Amino acid sequence: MEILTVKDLTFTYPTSSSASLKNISFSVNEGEFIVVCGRTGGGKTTLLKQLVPSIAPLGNRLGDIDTHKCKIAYVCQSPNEQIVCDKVYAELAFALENQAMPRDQMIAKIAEASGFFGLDDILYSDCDSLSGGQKQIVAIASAMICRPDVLVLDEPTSRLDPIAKEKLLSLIKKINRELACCVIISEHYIEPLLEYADKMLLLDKELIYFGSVDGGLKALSGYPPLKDALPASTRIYSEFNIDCKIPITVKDGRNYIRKYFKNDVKYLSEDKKEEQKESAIEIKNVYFRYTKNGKDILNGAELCVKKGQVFCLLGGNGSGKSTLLSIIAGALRAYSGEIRILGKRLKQYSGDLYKTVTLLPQDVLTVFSHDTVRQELQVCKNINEFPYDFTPILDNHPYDISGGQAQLLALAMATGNDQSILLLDEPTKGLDKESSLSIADMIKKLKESGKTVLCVTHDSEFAAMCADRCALLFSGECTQNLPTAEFFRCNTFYTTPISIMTRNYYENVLTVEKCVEIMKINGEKTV
Amino acid sequence: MRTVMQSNPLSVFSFYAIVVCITAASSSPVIQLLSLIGAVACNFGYNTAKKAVFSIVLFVLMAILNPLFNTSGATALFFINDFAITLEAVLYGVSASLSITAVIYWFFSFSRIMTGEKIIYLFGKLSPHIALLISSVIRFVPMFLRLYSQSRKAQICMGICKNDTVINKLKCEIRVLSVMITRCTENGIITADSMEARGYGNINRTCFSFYKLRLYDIIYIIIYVLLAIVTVFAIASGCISFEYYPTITVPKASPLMYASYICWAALVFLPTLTQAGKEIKWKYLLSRI
Amino acid sequence: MNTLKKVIRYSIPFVIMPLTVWAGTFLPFKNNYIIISCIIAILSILLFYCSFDTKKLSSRRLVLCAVMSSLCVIGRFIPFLKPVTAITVISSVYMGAEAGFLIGSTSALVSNMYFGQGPWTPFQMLAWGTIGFLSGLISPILKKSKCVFIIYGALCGILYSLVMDVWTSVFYNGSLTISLYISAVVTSLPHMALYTVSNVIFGIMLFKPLGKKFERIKLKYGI
Repeated sequence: MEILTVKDLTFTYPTSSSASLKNISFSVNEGEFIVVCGRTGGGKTTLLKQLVPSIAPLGNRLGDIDTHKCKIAYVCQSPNEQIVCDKVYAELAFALENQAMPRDQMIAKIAEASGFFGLDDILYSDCDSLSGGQKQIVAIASAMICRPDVLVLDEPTSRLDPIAKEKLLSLIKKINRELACCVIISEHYIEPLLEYADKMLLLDKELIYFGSVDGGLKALSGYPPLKDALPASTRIYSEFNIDCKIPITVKDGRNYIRKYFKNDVKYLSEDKKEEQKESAIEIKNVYFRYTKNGKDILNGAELCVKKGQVFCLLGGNGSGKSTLLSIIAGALRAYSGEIRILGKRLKQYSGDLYKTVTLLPQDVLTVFSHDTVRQELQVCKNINEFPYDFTPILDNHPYDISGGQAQLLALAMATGNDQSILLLDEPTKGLDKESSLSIADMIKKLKESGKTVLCVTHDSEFAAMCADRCALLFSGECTQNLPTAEFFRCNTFYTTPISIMTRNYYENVLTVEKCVEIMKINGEKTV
Repeated sequence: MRTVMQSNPLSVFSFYAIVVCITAASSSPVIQLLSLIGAVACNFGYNTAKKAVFSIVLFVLMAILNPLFNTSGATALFFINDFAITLEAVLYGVSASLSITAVIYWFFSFSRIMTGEKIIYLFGKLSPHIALLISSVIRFVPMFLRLYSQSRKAQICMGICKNDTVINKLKCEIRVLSVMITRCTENGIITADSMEARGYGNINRTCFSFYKLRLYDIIYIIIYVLLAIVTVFAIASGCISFEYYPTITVPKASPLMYASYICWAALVFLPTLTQAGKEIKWKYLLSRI
Repeated sequence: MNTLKKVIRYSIPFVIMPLTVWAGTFLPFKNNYIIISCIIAILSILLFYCSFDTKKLSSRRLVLCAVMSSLCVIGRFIPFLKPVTAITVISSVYMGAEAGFLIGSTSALVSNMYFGQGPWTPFQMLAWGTIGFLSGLISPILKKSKCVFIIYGALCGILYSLVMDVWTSVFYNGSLTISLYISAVVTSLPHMALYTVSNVIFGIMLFKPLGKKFERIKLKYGI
């Protein structure tokens, strides 16, 4: 049965001259699971908000949305901002309070939701003390508590780390499977959803495709601006014209490569880079803990970053990656150990440390204080040196530009005083693939202009793209300090999907581009 | 039986309101002293040493201050430049400071016991919208505090703000405040949308709380009121009031006086007694297991 | 619930308040003033809260009020200079008198959860709330010139201090004597200076940027 019908929807924001959504028509049936894909700025959020009558943005709307009187719940991407109350139970009760439900019924509903979503342990906690993943679960639970027919999720996992992402996505699947609640979800990271989803919706201001997942993947691979959003194995598939089942998972991709491609050539010829001798950052035996009797966050960490190198430090949540960056930037002080920057000890830099070193925070919105990009850029000495052109967005508000642009803007501000050493804290967090690629490009460009980059990240594909050397931070120590190719070849879990797919078949192939290149050199198998 | 402090916020609040009002209003040092002891007992087990130093200083200061402003009283202790310091004025000062110290001590425990949840419950009875406002402020404050230190760190570590001279520090503070204001107001719209999506806007909204006004809460309130009535009646009839000027007159012993002292003592020690009762009961129960 | 509010709304100013004052003069207590003034302060806060037109308190306004009061609370953590009054005044200028009262009073209440509740809480709530309310009322004048705004900010600092001194001396002595009041004023002079200076400094620094931000928010939020 249809529960949501959109007919010829065209929507224009009052401040913009062109339509954000053009002629969109589709319909959703009861209990379906729909994945919405599209690039940033392609109108995903606008469309999803239009589906929820109470928060539909104001503007010029043509066409029709028929919700068939069903209840629609909405959850967005920011774990911090969408929670209203101070305690978890109060947050769950919020929607019920608005309906003026009797107290006994409220308690029963809260008990149910708390059981289903596994919130019993944190029910009386402060919402503020929860992790990002827990906050998102609370947000979903409090949206689900009035038993909606449709749950609309706008990039619910984009601000979470990989493990919390997996957990949240499986919870969303559980909601669909066990409660038969229709789910409409937009995501950057669609891989775990593709096998489960019923339908796919591709959006780039216009409706590009609406229908089954297989068809969606085909449509995606034929539409260059959205291609980057595909899982690695599907991207490889899209480069060739082989008629077979579309590979989605790493396993599928591995089988695909082995089945259809030869491996006569195992290596790609690479130009060996000269290793610089001079070190930019040198860390020896660093120990750090937050409180006197606390646990050591850094436990004899050792690290050396050479001048002009891009160094990526990978590691799980809470492994102390950000802490290490703060220590190098002098914001925290290690209780033991030696840190040298350009050969000079950290302690010997007094006020002029930030003329050499600059730390870009994880949350770049903590950087902007002005109303336009132009004003923000005034902190830079010479903006023309920065390899990105901000001209089209100079008069925009920093909060109105896309996440990727905001990251670039912050990067420009961070390098404004010609600092030669850049410390980046998760620069691709919350960004879609396209923006991640542009950040990786930018880092390469900065490297060419002679800067040293130490980057902390969860994103192994990103590291594979731009790093010269990688290391893994675990239990307060830096291990596996190896050149990028070797690093990913040696790792079993902490590696890129392509590396797993091509393991024992090709060597030192980490990225989709490289993989496609070597596959083209080898050629298809003749059956 | 739950302790006084565990009962419904409404009954806890009425306890404090009654006790603090009578303590502040009475002129009898006996009432004040009992109240002070009761209040200190209520804070037993919590580290109030730092606050105690403050209140002792206040106590001495007040006792000294009064005679400087008040020269009435018959018994002069000594003179400062023809300015009489009288015994009565000193004692009056001591009595006044007793009552203020007691009030301050009551508020120590009040601040500890009246958590955000309880305040929200109380305001929720009045207006669920205000309760929601308070609830979100309580949620925002720690979040913003963290944001404040994050943006401060970001500004300094990016070399935008300098943390050396006073002027630079002030500039940095203003910039960080500006970042905060932008961030918080811009993102507020997400919070507002999330509220709207969950049906905010109904005028007849209620305020949920796990607290419920049960029978024993009402019994507690009745007990407070009854005990307070006896004390207030005694104060009103003047049979326990001390006169300081011109000379100190101690009230004559009377049944009402004793009754009011006993009632007052029962009232101010009720939280401690119920707490002690609970502790003993637990010990007894645990030793049985 | 609504009938209760209505009862409160009309009974407080016309019945309960006069009754308290009248009964207060007959109270046999030594410290009548402190109790009466406390009750009156609480009653006026109640009155304000109950007479709010909750229809007007849309989600966006409510969130914005919450954000501004949280910023005020954070402001109290800054050593020496307190931007509380400046933030309250600026936000009430842009959001109106009712919101101003809400912001002022809520920040007093919540910040005292960190700095300790006391008998001063209702007075602080009332004082800050009134500052917000007044600035909301005269917002057209304040919006026009920065100069007037800064003078108003300085006045707010001085008046706030003077009013709280009345309370201090009443609380310490049970009644208001001139000599005690003057000494209270003198002892709190550094505080007064600090209030005034911070109001002026933050007023100068925040007036324009914050105003701009509010204009943008009003446009974006559609308030």
